[in-house]
Amino acid sequence: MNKLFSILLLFALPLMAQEERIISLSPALTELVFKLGKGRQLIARSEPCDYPPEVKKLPVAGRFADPDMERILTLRPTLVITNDLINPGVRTVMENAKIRCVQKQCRTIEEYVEWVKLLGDVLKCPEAAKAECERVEREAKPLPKIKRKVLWVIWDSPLMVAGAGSLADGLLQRVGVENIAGNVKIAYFKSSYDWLLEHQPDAIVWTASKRDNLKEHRFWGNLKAVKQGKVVMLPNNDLVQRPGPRITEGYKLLAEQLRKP
Amino acid sequence: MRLRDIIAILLNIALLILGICWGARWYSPMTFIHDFENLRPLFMLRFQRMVTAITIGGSLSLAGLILQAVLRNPLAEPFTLGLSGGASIGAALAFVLGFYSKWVFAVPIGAFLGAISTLIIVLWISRCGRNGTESLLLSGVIAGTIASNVLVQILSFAQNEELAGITWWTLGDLQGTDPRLLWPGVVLLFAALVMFRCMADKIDAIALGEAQAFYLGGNPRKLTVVLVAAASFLAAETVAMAGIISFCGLIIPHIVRQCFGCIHRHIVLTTALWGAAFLMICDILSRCISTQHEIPIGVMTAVIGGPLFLWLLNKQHHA
Amino acid sequence: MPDSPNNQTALRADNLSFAYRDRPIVRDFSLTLVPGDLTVLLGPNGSGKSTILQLLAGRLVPQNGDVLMDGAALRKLSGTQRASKIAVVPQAAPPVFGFTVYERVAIGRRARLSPFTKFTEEDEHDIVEAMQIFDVERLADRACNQLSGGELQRVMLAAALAQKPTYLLLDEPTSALDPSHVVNTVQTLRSLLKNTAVLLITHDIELAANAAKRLVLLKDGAVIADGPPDTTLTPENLTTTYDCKASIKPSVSFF
Repeated sequence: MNKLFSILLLFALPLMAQEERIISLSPALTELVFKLGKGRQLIARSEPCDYPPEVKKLPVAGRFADPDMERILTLRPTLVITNDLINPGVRTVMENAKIRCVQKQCRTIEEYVEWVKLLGDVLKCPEAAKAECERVEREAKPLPKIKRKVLWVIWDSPLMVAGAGSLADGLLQRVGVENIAGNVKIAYFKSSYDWLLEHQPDAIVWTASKRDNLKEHRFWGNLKAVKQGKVVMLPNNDLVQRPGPRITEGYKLLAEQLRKP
Repeated sequence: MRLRDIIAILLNIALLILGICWGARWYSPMTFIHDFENLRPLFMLRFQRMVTAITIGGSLSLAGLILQAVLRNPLAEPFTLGLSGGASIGAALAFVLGFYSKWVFAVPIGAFLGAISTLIIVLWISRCGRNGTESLLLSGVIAGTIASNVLVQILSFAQNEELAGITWWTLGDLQGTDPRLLWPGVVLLFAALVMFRCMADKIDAIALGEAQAFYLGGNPRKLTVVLVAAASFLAAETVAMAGIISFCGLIIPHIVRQCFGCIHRHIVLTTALWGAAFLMICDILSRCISTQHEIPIGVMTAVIGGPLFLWLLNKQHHA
Repeated sequence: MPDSPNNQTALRADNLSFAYRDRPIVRDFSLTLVPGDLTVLLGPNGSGKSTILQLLAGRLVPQNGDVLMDGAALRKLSGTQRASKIAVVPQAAPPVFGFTVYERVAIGRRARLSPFTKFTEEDEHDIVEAMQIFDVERLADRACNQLSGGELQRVMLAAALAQKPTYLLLDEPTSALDPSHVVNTVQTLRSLLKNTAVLLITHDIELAANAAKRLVLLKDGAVIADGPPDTTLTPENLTTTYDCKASIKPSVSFF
């Protein structure tokens, strides 16, 4: 009887102990896994994953949306989460290896909230997920609109700005200001200096590489937002460019900077 | 100066004025004269952009003309020698390694070094063209292919934000040109014009073949190296200024040869002028079709130049 | 032909030897070309004829011996100096680009001029005359890459003539011509002889016999016989040169 019990226990142990072994291929999702308290189940990360700092100790299993399949198969995960896959064919490889792959776009705050719910169900922690959803809705709630046109510069050479559908556009809407390029239905597009001179923004969010002498630049120096020093550069662009838990911090910084009179 | 060159110069001036007046909003030349102080920033912006278009269009077409003559291959382009690949690798490295954020010149210099080192490798592999132009062209194409693969590798290392910069840069961008790079480019174009005009007869001779070039008093190997190097220098300069712009160097020499013959002393200036006009037209269209959302210049030249080239090829075939 | 003094107008090859890798192609070859001579170099394929032509034109540098033009070493002269005296008609290959016949002939003339000079009336006259002589004037506006082989050969002859050379070196210039144009070409070459030395390379024995004032028989890069055609074109010499039994019979001739 005792023996039988022990044998049963032996079989049951792995069943009881079984929890997901996760690989995340996106920095935002890595942060979310930690936020939901499942950080210790994460066994590998993608190259750009750098927050929270302890995640850097994990082995790297690919680049953003680009898994290194050999690594993944040796690490024996049970779950791979990603926003995108550069080569959709690797899904089949993972399915054949009995690895679950959850893939879903995450480009706006709304999509982030959906991800939180989805991951809460997948990782069996719906309460933590619900709390995170509520936190985001509470801490990043849409503010009343003020009359202020803002340009979001993603890259300055060539000039790339954020249009409708981008994370940046969503943030600006929540902060209550108008995205001057929001009428273009392309998330990120190339814009022209000429047009900006004619349609000047009241303020600029600058997430391109830092420039100290913007006022002396042959073009930027002509914009009144630059002349008046209304250029917002954040200490850490990840806060506004990564649709993860820290997006609320980015929102807070932007609201402070963009809404001050 | 021939009548057709005077007409081409007048066309260039007309396009320059059109390009200055037309943009996000139309200002007549009179408005510019009356209200210059207020419109100064806009004027400078558009003026500089048009000068960039002139310089790059002229340089690319000239480089194409020379490379086609020297390699005796009507399909040679500033980029057939793998220069585009080399230049884009240099540029991409400057982006990815973060030199760009420290120093604006890093990208153009990176591009330039990339192009020149590719050229040296290509010339070395083909023994300076001693094994015939085929081997030069073949080495160029292979170097270009290798380079574009390396570029993809570099791109996959890059973070999103950097990636956007490189991807767009490979389609060409005229507004980002640094004025500190523009004026040296203008000087270089004029120097090249003078140089090619002085060597025009030798270019004719080498276009007939290496043997003919020798019997007509030239040193074919030296000529090949000097001309290919000069043309590559021009092309690398344009890549440094505005990224990769295709088709300009291919079709303009074709059109000019078809219309005005092959004697280089007659067509060197003409080619530069038509190239400048072509790129100005492409640029004006690229920023005026949709003023807020610019069409990359490389897309514009391909969209206009591609069909034009196919039509030309077809016409030549029937002739 | 006796050796000319060094300062005289002559293109002189002194004991040339040339080998490609270890394979000797030209062995101890000497020849002097002076205006008034029409020398024919006759030999089978691979006897080194084209190599000798390239040595004489300066395109190849001999491993032994030297080529002297008007007393000066050819390899030390500048390209313009060389091109204003020596014109070469290589075996015809159509150009890649659509130069017109007039342009192609004019390029020959350009070799003598500096980059910014315009054609004088004399230049224009010489170009048109060269085209007339070789019967290509009516093709003046046609593109060279659309001509027949024979037309192209005549265009290249005209281009060489427009160069007004003292030494004219021709590599199989009549291979694609019909008999009447061959006769015409030979007559033209002869009419030039007052001021020009002509070297003609061929493997056409009949042409050689009729055109040459002096004939050099060549085999494996070495001279078999040298002299007027009457003395050199003997059955014995031809048998040695071509490795097959030869006899000489009178035949139909256009000359």
